[in-house]
Amino acid sequence: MPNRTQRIARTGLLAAAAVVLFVFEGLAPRPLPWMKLGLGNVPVMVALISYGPMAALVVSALKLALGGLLSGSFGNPAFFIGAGAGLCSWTVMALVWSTARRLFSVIGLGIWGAVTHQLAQLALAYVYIGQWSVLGLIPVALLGGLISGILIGLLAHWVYQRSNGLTILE
Amino acid sequence: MAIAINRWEWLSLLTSGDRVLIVILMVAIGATLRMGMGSDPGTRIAVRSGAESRVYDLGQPAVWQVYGPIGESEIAIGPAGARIQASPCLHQHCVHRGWVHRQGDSVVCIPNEVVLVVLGGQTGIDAVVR
Repeated sequence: MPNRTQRIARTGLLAAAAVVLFVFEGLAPRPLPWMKLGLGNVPVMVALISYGPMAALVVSALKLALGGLLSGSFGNPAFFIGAGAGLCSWTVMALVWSTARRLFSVIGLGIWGAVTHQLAQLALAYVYIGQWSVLGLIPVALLGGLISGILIGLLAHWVYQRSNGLTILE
Repeated sequence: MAIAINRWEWLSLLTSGDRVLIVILMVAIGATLRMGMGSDPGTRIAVRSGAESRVYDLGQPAVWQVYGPIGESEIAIGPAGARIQASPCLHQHCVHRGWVHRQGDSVVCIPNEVVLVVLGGQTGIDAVVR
Protein backbone atom coordinates (compact mmCIF):
# COMPACT_ATOMS: atom_id res chain seq x y z
CA MET A 1 0.00 0.00 0.00
CA PRO A 2 1.64 3.23 -1.09
CA ASN A 3 1.82 6.00 1.46
CA ARG A 4 0.03 9.33 1.23
CA THR A 5 2.82 11.23 -0.49
CA GLN A 6 3.23 8.55 -3.15
CA ARG A 7 -0.48 8.54 -3.72
CA ILE A 8 -0.64 12.30 -4.18
CA ALA A 9 2.35 12.24 -6.54
CA ARG A 10 0.92 9.41 -8.61
CA THR A 11 -2.52 11.02 -8.76
CA GLY A 12 -0.78 14.14 -10.04
CA LEU A 13 1.03 12.09 -12.70
CA LEU A 14 -2.24 10.51 -13.76
CA ALA A 15 -3.89 13.95 -13.96
CA ALA A 16 -1.03 15.23 -16.13
CA ALA A 17 -1.37 12.21 -18.42
CA ALA A 18 -5.13 12.74 -18.60
CA VAL A 19 -4.72 16.41 -19.63
CA VAL A 20 -2.18 15.53 -22.33
CA LEU A 21 -4.34 12.73 -23.72
CA PHE A 22 -7.46 14.91 -23.61
CA VAL A 23 -5.85 17.81 -25.46
CA PHE A 24 -4.08 15.52 -27.93
CA GLU A 25 -7.30 13.73 -28.76
CA GLY A 26 -9.09 17.04 -29.24
CA LEU A 27 -6.51 18.00 -31.89
CA ALA A 28 -6.67 14.71 -33.78
CA PRO A 29 -9.04 14.81 -36.75
CA ARG A 30 -12.22 12.79 -36.42
CA PRO A 31 -15.13 12.19 -38.76
CA LEU A 32 -17.91 13.11 -36.30
CA PRO A 33 -17.99 15.23 -33.16
CA TRP A 34 -19.14 12.27 -31.06
CA MET A 35 -16.56 9.90 -32.44
CA LYS A 36 -14.06 10.35 -29.68
CA LEU A 37 -12.47 7.48 -27.86
CA GLY A 38 -12.04 9.41 -24.64
CA LEU A 39 -8.38 8.52 -24.12
CA GLY A 40 -8.25 11.02 -21.27
CA ASN A 41 -10.50 8.70 -19.31
CA VAL A 42 -7.85 5.98 -19.14
CA PRO A 43 -5.97 7.82 -16.33
CA VAL A 44 -9.31 8.57 -14.62
CA MET A 45 -10.10 4.85 -14.56
CA VAL A 46 -6.59 3.92 -13.46
CA ALA A 47 -6.92 6.43 -10.59
CA LEU A 48 -10.28 4.91 -9.67
CA ILE A 49 -9.09 1.32 -9.51
CA SER A 50 -5.77 2.23 -7.89
CA TYR A 51 -6.74 4.90 -5.37
CA GLY A 52 -10.53 5.05 -5.27
CA PRO A 53 -13.30 7.49 -6.30
CA MET A 54 -11.84 10.68 -4.81
CA ALA A 55 -8.55 10.33 -6.70
CA ALA A 56 -10.53 9.65 -9.88
CA LEU A 57 -12.61 12.78 -9.30
CA VAL A 58 -9.45 14.85 -8.87
CA VAL A 59 -7.96 13.48 -12.10
CA SER A 60 -11.24 13.96 -13.97
CA ALA A 61 -11.78 17.52 -12.71
CA LEU A 62 -8.19 18.53 -13.50
CA LYS A 63 -8.48 16.96 -16.94
CA LEU A 64 -11.65 18.93 -17.68
CA ALA A 65 -10.48 22.24 -16.24
CA LEU A 66 -6.91 22.26 -17.58
CA GLY A 67 -7.89 20.50 -20.81
CA GLY A 68 -10.66 23.05 -21.33
CA LEU A 69 -8.28 25.95 -20.74
CA LEU A 70 -5.57 24.52 -23.00
CA SER A 71 -7.91 23.66 -25.86
CA GLY A 72 -9.69 27.00 -25.59
CA SER A 73 -13.10 25.47 -25.00
CA PHE A 74 -13.32 26.50 -21.33
CA GLY A 75 -16.68 28.06 -20.58
CA ASN A 76 -18.40 27.39 -23.91
CA PRO A 77 -21.45 25.13 -24.29
CA ALA A 78 -19.39 22.17 -25.52
CA PHE A 79 -17.26 22.47 -22.40
CA PHE A 80 -20.26 22.41 -20.08
CA ILE A 81 -21.78 19.46 -21.93
CA GLY A 82 -18.47 17.59 -21.70
CA ALA A 83 -17.90 18.51 -18.06
CA GLY A 84 -21.42 17.52 -17.02
CA ALA A 85 -21.09 14.23 -18.88
CA GLY A 86 -17.69 13.63 -17.29
CA LEU A 87 -19.16 14.19 -13.84
CA CYS A 88 -22.08 11.80 -14.52
CA SER A 89 -19.65 9.23 -15.85
CA TRP A 90 -17.48 9.52 -12.74
CA THR A 91 -20.54 9.19 -10.46
CA VAL A 92 -21.69 5.98 -12.13
CA MET A 93 -18.21 4.46 -12.29
CA ALA A 94 -17.57 5.34 -8.63
CA LEU A 95 -20.90 3.76 -7.63
CA VAL A 96 -20.27 0.61 -9.66
CA TRP A 97 -16.74 0.36 -8.32
CA SER A 98 -17.79 0.82 -4.68
CA THR A 99 -20.84 -1.44 -4.76
CA ALA A 100 -20.50 -3.97 -7.57
CA ARG A 101 -16.75 -4.37 -8.03
CA ARG A 102 -16.94 -8.16 -7.96
CA LEU A 103 -19.54 -8.23 -10.70
CA PHE A 104 -17.64 -6.33 -13.38
CA SER A 105 -14.11 -6.29 -14.75
CA VAL A 106 -12.29 -3.07 -15.62
CA ILE A 107 -13.79 -3.45 -19.10
CA GLY A 108 -17.30 -3.57 -17.62
CA LEU A 109 -16.46 -0.48 -15.57
CA GLY A 110 -15.27 1.24 -18.75
CA ILE A 111 -18.54 0.40 -20.51
CA TRP A 112 -20.56 1.84 -17.61
CA GLY A 113 -18.50 5.02 -17.71
CA ALA A 114 -18.52 5.46 -21.49
CA VAL A 115 -22.23 4.72 -21.97
CA THR A 116 -23.12 7.09 -19.13
CA HIS A 117 -20.88 9.73 -20.68
CA GLN A 118 -22.59 9.36 -24.07
CA LEU A 119 -26.14 9.42 -22.69
CA ALA A 120 -25.42 12.34 -20.35
CA GLN A 121 -23.92 14.24 -23.29
CA LEU A 122 -27.11 13.70 -25.31
CA ALA A 123 -29.30 14.69 -22.36
CA LEU A 124 -27.30 17.89 -21.83
CA ALA A 125 -27.32 18.65 -25.55
CA TYR A 126 -31.08 18.22 -25.44
CA VAL A 127 -31.36 20.63 -22.52
CA TYR A 128 -29.19 23.11 -24.38
CA ILE A 129 -30.80 22.84 -27.80
CA GLY A 130 -34.34 21.95 -26.72
CA GLN A 131 -35.02 19.72 -29.70
CA TRP A 132 -36.25 16.16 -29.36
CA SER A 133 -34.40 15.19 -32.53
CA VAL A 134 -31.23 14.86 -30.44
CA LEU A 135 -32.79 11.73 -28.98
CA GLY A 136 -32.60 10.08 -32.40
CA LEU A 137 -28.90 9.76 -31.69
CA ILE A 138 -29.46 7.38 -28.77
CA PRO A 139 -28.55 4.20 -30.71
CA VAL A 140 -25.37 5.85 -31.97
CA ALA A 141 -24.55 6.99 -28.44
CA LEU A 142 -25.10 3.51 -27.01
CA LEU A 143 -23.01 1.84 -29.70
CA GLY A 144 -20.25 4.43 -29.38
CA GLY A 145 -20.29 4.06 -25.60
CA LEU A 146 -20.09 0.28 -25.85
CA ILE A 147 -17.13 0.29 -28.24
CA SER A 148 -15.17 3.07 -26.58
CA GLY A 149 -15.96 1.64 -23.14
CA ILE A 150 -14.46 -1.72 -24.04
CA LEU A 151 -11.35 -0.11 -25.55
CA ILE A 152 -10.83 2.38 -22.72
CA GLY A 153 -11.46 -0.29 -20.09
CA LEU A 154 -8.98 -2.61 -21.74
CA LEU A 155 -6.36 0.15 -21.93
CA ALA A 156 -6.95 1.02 -18.27
CA HIS A 157 -6.63 -2.65 -17.36
CA TRP A 158 -3.27 -2.91 -19.14
CA VAL A 159 -1.95 0.34 -17.67
CA TYR A 160 -3.05 -0.74 -14.19
CA GLN A 161 -1.32 -4.10 -14.56
CA ARG A 162 1.89 -2.49 -15.83
CA SER A 163 1.94 0.22 -13.16
CA ASN A 164 1.66 -2.35 -10.38
CA GLY A 165 5.27 -3.28 -10.94
CA LEU A 166 6.28 0.33 -11.33
CA THR A 167 8.88 1.40 -8.79
CA ILE A 168 9.02 5.04 -9.88
CA LEU A 169 8.44 7.48 -7.02
CA GLU A 170 8.95 4.90 -4.34
CA MET B 1 8.04 -5.74 -20.67
CA ALA B 2 6.24 -6.65 -23.85
CA ILE B 3 2.48 -6.76 -23.73
CA ALA B 4 1.21 -9.85 -25.48
CA ILE B 5 -1.75 -8.54 -27.41
CA ASN B 6 -3.85 -11.40 -28.60
CA ARG B 7 -6.73 -10.11 -30.65
CA TRP B 8 -9.34 -11.87 -28.54
CA GLU B 9 -7.51 -11.80 -25.22
CA TRP B 10 -9.91 -9.23 -23.83
CA LEU B 11 -12.82 -11.64 -24.13
CA SER B 12 -11.30 -13.82 -21.44
CA LEU B 13 -11.16 -10.83 -19.10
CA LEU B 14 -14.91 -10.34 -19.23
CA THR B 15 -16.88 -11.38 -16.16
CA SER B 16 -20.43 -12.68 -16.44
CA GLY B 17 -21.62 -9.24 -15.26
CA ASP B 18 -19.77 -7.65 -18.19
CA ARG B 19 -21.34 -10.08 -20.63
CA VAL B 20 -24.85 -9.39 -19.33
CA LEU B 21 -24.19 -5.65 -19.57
CA ILE B 22 -22.97 -5.97 -23.17
CA VAL B 23 -25.98 -8.07 -24.19
CA ILE B 24 -28.40 -5.60 -22.56
CA LEU B 25 -26.74 -2.73 -24.40
CA MET B 26 -26.91 -4.53 -27.73
CA VAL B 27 -30.63 -5.19 -27.22
CA ALA B 28 -31.11 -1.51 -26.30
CA ILE B 29 -29.22 -0.43 -29.45
CA GLY B 30 -31.46 -2.66 -31.59
CA ALA B 31 -34.64 -1.43 -29.92
CA THR B 32 -33.77 2.28 -30.17
CA LEU B 33 -32.63 1.85 -33.79
CA ARG B 34 -35.96 0.28 -34.68
CA MET B 35 -37.82 3.15 -32.99
CA GLY B 36 -35.84 5.82 -34.80
CA MET B 37 -36.09 4.38 -38.29
CA GLY B 38 -38.58 4.90 -41.03
CA SER B 39 -39.29 8.60 -40.66
CA ASP B 40 -40.87 10.24 -43.68
CA PRO B 41 -39.45 12.99 -45.84
CA GLY B 42 -40.18 16.38 -44.31
CA THR B 43 -41.97 19.31 -45.89
CA ARG B 44 -40.76 22.23 -43.81
CA ILE B 45 -37.61 23.31 -42.03
CA ALA B 46 -37.49 25.13 -38.70
CA VAL B 47 -34.49 27.42 -38.41
CA ARG B 48 -33.54 28.62 -34.97
CA SER B 49 -30.82 31.19 -34.47
CA GLY B 50 -30.34 32.25 -30.87
CA ALA B 51 -33.82 32.98 -29.51
CA GLU B 52 -35.38 33.52 -32.93
CA SER B 53 -37.16 30.68 -34.70
CA ARG B 54 -38.78 30.60 -38.15
CA VAL B 55 -40.24 27.92 -40.38
CA TYR B 56 -39.63 27.70 -44.15
CA ASP B 57 -40.98 25.45 -46.90
CA LEU B 58 -38.56 22.83 -48.13
CA GLY B 59 -40.08 23.04 -51.60
CA GLN B 60 -38.65 26.48 -52.37
CA PRO B 61 -34.88 26.64 -53.01
CA ALA B 62 -33.23 29.49 -51.15
CA VAL B 63 -29.94 30.63 -49.69
CA TRP B 64 -29.72 33.12 -46.85
CA GLN B 65 -27.70 34.12 -43.82
CA VAL B 66 -28.47 34.09 -40.14
CA TYR B 67 -26.38 35.81 -37.49
CA GLY B 68 -25.13 34.13 -34.34
CA PRO B 69 -22.74 35.03 -31.53
CA ILE B 70 -19.62 34.25 -33.58
CA GLY B 71 -20.75 35.41 -36.98
CA GLU B 72 -22.75 34.60 -40.07
CA SER B 73 -24.04 31.11 -40.95
CA GLU B 74 -25.28 30.45 -44.46
CA ILE B 75 -28.33 28.24 -44.78
CA ALA B 76 -29.52 26.67 -48.03
CA ILE B 77 -32.67 24.89 -49.13
CA GLY B 78 -32.30 22.77 -52.24
CA PRO B 79 -33.72 19.66 -53.91
CA ALA B 80 -31.88 17.43 -51.40
CA GLY B 81 -33.30 19.20 -48.34
CA ALA B 82 -31.69 21.86 -46.19
CA ARG B 83 -28.20 22.39 -44.87
CA ILE B 84 -25.84 24.84 -43.28
CA GLN B 85 -23.43 25.50 -46.14
CA ALA B 86 -21.07 27.94 -44.48
CA SER B 87 -20.36 28.60 -40.84
CA PRO B 88 -17.82 30.62 -38.84
CA CYS B 89 -17.37 27.80 -36.32
CA LEU B 90 -14.03 26.07 -35.73
CA HIS B 91 -14.80 22.41 -36.38
CA GLN B 92 -17.41 22.80 -39.16
CA HIS B 93 -19.38 19.81 -37.89
CA CYS B 94 -22.63 21.50 -38.96
CA VAL B 95 -21.38 22.00 -42.52
CA HIS B 96 -20.15 18.42 -42.76
CA ARG B 97 -23.53 17.17 -41.60
CA GLY B 98 -24.69 17.93 -45.14
CA TRP B 99 -28.26 17.89 -46.42
CA VAL B 100 -31.12 16.80 -44.18
CA HIS B 101 -34.60 16.02 -45.47
CA ARG B 102 -36.25 13.41 -43.21
CA GLN B 103 -38.69 14.41 -40.50
CA GLY B 104 -36.88 14.90 -37.23
CA ASP B 105 -33.46 15.21 -38.86
CA SER B 106 -31.48 18.17 -37.65
CA VAL B 107 -28.33 20.17 -38.16
CA VAL B 108 -26.92 21.81 -35.08
CA CYS B 109 -24.16 24.37 -34.78
CA ILE B 110 -23.53 24.87 -31.09
CA PRO B 111 -20.79 27.54 -31.42
CA ASN B 112 -22.98 29.85 -33.52
CA GLU B 113 -26.26 28.71 -31.91
CA VAL B 114 -27.98 27.71 -35.15
CA VAL B 115 -30.38 24.78 -35.29
CA LEU B 116 -32.21 23.35 -38.32
CA VAL B 117 -34.95 20.77 -37.79
CA VAL B 118 -36.95 19.11 -40.55
CA LEU B 119 -40.67 19.11 -39.85
CA GLY B 120 -43.58 17.34 -41.47
CA GLY B 121 -47.14 18.54 -41.87
CA GLN B 122 -48.74 21.22 -44.02
CA THR B 123 -46.57 23.71 -45.83
CA GLY B 124 -47.53 27.33 -46.04
CA ILE B 125 -48.87 26.73 -49.54
CA ASP B 126 -52.56 25.79 -49.58
CA ALA B 127 -52.49 24.20 -53.03
CA VAL B 128 -50.45 24.07 -56.17
CA VAL B 129 -52.40 24.89 -59.33
CA ARG B 130 -50.93 23.98 -62.67
